[in-house]
Amino acid sequence: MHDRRLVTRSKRGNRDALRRIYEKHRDKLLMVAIALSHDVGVAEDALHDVFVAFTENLARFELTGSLKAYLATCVANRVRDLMRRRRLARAEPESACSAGSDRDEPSRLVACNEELQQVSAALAQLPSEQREVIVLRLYGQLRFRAIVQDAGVSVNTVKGQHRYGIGNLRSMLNGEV
Amino acid sequence: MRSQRKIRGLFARSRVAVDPRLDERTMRDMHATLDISKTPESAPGEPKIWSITMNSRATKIAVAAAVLVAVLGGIHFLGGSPDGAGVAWADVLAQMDAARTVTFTYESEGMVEGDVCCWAKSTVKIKEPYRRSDGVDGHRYGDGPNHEETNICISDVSRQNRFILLNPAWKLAHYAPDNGGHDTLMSYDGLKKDFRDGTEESLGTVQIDGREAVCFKVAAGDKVITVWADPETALPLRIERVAKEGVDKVTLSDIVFDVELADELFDMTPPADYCVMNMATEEFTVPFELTEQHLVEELATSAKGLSGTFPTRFGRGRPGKEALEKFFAELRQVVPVEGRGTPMLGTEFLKRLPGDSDWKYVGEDVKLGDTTKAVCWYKPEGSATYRVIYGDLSVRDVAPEELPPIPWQTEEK
Repeated sequence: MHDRRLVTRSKRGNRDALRRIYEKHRDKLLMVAIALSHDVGVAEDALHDVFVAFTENLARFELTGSLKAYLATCVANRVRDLMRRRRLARAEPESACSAGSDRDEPSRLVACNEELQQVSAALAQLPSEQREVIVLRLYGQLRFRAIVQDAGVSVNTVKGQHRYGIGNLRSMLNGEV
Repeated sequence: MRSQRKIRGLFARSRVAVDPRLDERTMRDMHATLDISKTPESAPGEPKIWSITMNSRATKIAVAAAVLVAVLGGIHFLGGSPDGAGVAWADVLAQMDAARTVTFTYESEGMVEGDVCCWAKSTVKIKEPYRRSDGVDGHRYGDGPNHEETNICISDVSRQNRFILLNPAWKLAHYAPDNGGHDTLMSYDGLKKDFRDGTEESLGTVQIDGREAVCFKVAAGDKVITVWADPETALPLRIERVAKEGVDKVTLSDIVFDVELADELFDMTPPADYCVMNMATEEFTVPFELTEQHLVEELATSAKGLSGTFPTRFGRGRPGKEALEKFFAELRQVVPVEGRGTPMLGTEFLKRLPGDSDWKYVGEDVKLGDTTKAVCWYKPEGSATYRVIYGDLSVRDVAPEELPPIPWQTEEK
């Protein structure tokens, strides 16, 4: 069913429609969160928080574009905030998080395949702006214009970040791909 | 290119496996949130079962407990704590993004060497994709004069920032099909962009306007932005931006989210009785016939703005760089007078004169009220005589051979 109809039905309190939205977008959003944070724990929390906040704001939510893009942007924002909180709490640099090491913890509820681990580890080495643009573009499938709205910079800046980011990824992954 | 395709392939083949416990936990909290948010209102005329039930002491306790759970639950969903101090910056951003409409009072102030050089106050209404600003108590931009009149600006950011500026006092509209970068209208968007800078610092719970608020400080370039937010809803109550070490200050107060705003407020059609300037084509639409009287009035306003002396140039005038520089210096000396800034209907009248009207302006240094010196003249279409406007604003018909000499041509001879 189309996202717009699912949202309309969810706004009327239909639990099944809400569940279908969750199931439809869950995996992509988790991949966005993991690729951005390189931390499965952060990704789980971000997914949970975004869907709960989405439900809470449903009454006044108006779908004006792609729901997937909207949710991906929310996830990116939430990851950014969670990462910042963790860094403040641990006083550790961002690169201390690891999807690779976290995935084996028994408490973790999400497992990544080899490709996602590989991508996530490489992305963690990129500057955050480049990482965010690449993830929102390739996992979130956001258009540059949508990323611009969230990032508050020009289209050319975002395209530049994407180009440099892909270039850097290419150098890092060249031996492995 | 080959390796780039391979990178894209890595992304495409990425997969996650999700434990059902994550789904259960998330769905449970989503359903609980849905239940809280869809509590129905009682219909008018219903039997007052509610009040009868509430009279039971046991029910009161149960309801109080349920309310407490709901309140605590609501705060949890915002990532906060019962005292509100845990409201996170991301919650503030998320709530702002979720809001359909927002209204606020906008105040800006710029300083030069300790003196206020520009200021503006307006009420702003935003209903995506429109922004509307209604000026309050006039405005002043740059080192120009104070403007007592107020403007209404409306912009549509979904269509290349289509923009209209309405001046009800002068019945004048400026329309720009693709240029809405108006500072007041875009202030909220600009602030939101700065919010993404990632340098925010939580200042905890503070008192503002007699109420509690959680406070955040964001540094963005040379700007420092302070945001006071409601500890329960995470919505901003007040935002202040100070830039260039205090030289520029913008304040957004009385912020209200999700108010009903009628579509008519954002209607960008200029009223039928307005003069409309299309800023892209410079086409001026006037809903009445332009006459010589409009030219006379504009000449009078120009002279009054320069302490009673007609300007060096008015559309035309003495040629040369020196004359132009003198004219620019005069523009900087203009003092506010009644009618200054009104639609330039006199200028528009001149622009519409036929090519053979032989328009001349010789008003440089002529005093307003001088009955002997001509200020300008032109030949109406089909007329054998010229219409000459004098320093006392009188207009006389003059034969071509009796026209006054043109001062700079006389000097050259």
